Amino acid sequence: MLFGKRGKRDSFERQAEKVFPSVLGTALRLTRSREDAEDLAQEAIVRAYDAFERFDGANFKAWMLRIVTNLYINKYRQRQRGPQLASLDDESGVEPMSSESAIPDRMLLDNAVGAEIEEALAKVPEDFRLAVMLSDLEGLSYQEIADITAVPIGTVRSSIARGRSILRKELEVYARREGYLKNGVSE
Amino acid sequence: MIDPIELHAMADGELAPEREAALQRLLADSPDVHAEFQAIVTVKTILRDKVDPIECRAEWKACVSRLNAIDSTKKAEALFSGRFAWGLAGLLFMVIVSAGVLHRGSDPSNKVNSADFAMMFGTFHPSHENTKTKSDQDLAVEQLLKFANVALDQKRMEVRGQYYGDLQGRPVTRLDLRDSSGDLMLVVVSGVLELNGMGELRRDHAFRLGHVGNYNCVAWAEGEKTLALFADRPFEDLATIASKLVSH
Repeated sequence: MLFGKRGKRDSFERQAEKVFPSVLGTALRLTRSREDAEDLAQEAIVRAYDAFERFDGANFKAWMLRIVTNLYINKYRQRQRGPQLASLDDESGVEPMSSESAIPDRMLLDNAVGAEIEEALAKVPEDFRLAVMLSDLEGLSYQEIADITAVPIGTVRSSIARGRSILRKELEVYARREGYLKNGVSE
Repeated sequence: MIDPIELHAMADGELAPEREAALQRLLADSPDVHAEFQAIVTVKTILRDKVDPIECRAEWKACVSRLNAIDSTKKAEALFSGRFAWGLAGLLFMVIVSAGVLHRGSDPSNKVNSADFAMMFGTFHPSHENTKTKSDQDLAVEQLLKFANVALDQKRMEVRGQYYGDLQGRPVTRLDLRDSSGDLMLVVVSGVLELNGMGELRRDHAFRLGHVGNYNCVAWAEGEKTLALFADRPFEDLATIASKLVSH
């Protein structure tokens, strides 16, 4: 890609500003901490800027989200104790996480999602949650999610299905109250 | 039997067209499958509708500031390690060379290393001494002392010889003297020299002292001349004699 230095900066900044809410939002929902999310998002922006000349020009948002996800996996997740992971082979389903630590800081996240939705998302194991977020919040394709999370596309399909199933249970009351579901319609 | 994963994939538009068409037929025929599909779509809808973009202007500004800082650092690095590096190195080299030239250009001949003084009593020859009569010699010494603006108490100090030579192209006269303590030499050089390697002895007369060969030396400037006393005796004695010479 042929950029002048100024042109590279302008081009990067223009594209990065557009996707920054997604970058920060993803970081926020992964780290569950505003401070960590800001650090993670900023570091992702810096890494992306350094590597911008290697960007293939296809999907900047997916590229940025891959960077922030990789950063999170490499740095933050290792730092955290008790990773919120679930086995895809566990046919009995995933037990929702109910500890208070799994519930995000409402004051910080209320602007992003309704508190009930946020609580429901927090109860989805991290790998499933990431796949659902990338699909439903960021609108990425399965292939793009597979590229970002470095897992086979079949795993992405399973993660999304299982993540949504957990969310569906958690959001059932909310959905009925808000009129998304008619009474009597359930899983 | 429908794989629920396929329903999710269909809700996401990730199914092949023929498979999607088949599932659509099943949806139409089965209320349960249809309800299942609607539940999936509902979850997607809730997430889409209830999740607002995060307010992040302050965080983005922080990122821009960080990028600015990175750009500034890169510019500075490029200046010193990029295409201008050789230019800067060359410029620095030129500055050093120019400073050296200017420093030398002030009057390099004025700089004399103290070790060079050794030549004053090692390489000079009394060639002129032997060709002059005693009165001529006395007259020459008198002229030299007058020229050097010093006075010898010839009752205490005997002139035993007068020698000529040059130091870096400058005429040098050396008088071999003797007093009650022994022999010493007085050297007179035209021009004020910077005597490298000699320390300051007394600020009032700007006497400078150093070791030259096996001798101690006290040197000072007198008008446009440089004078030095050499002897194998303490600096204090030499300084006392030098003080008497200049305070006549």
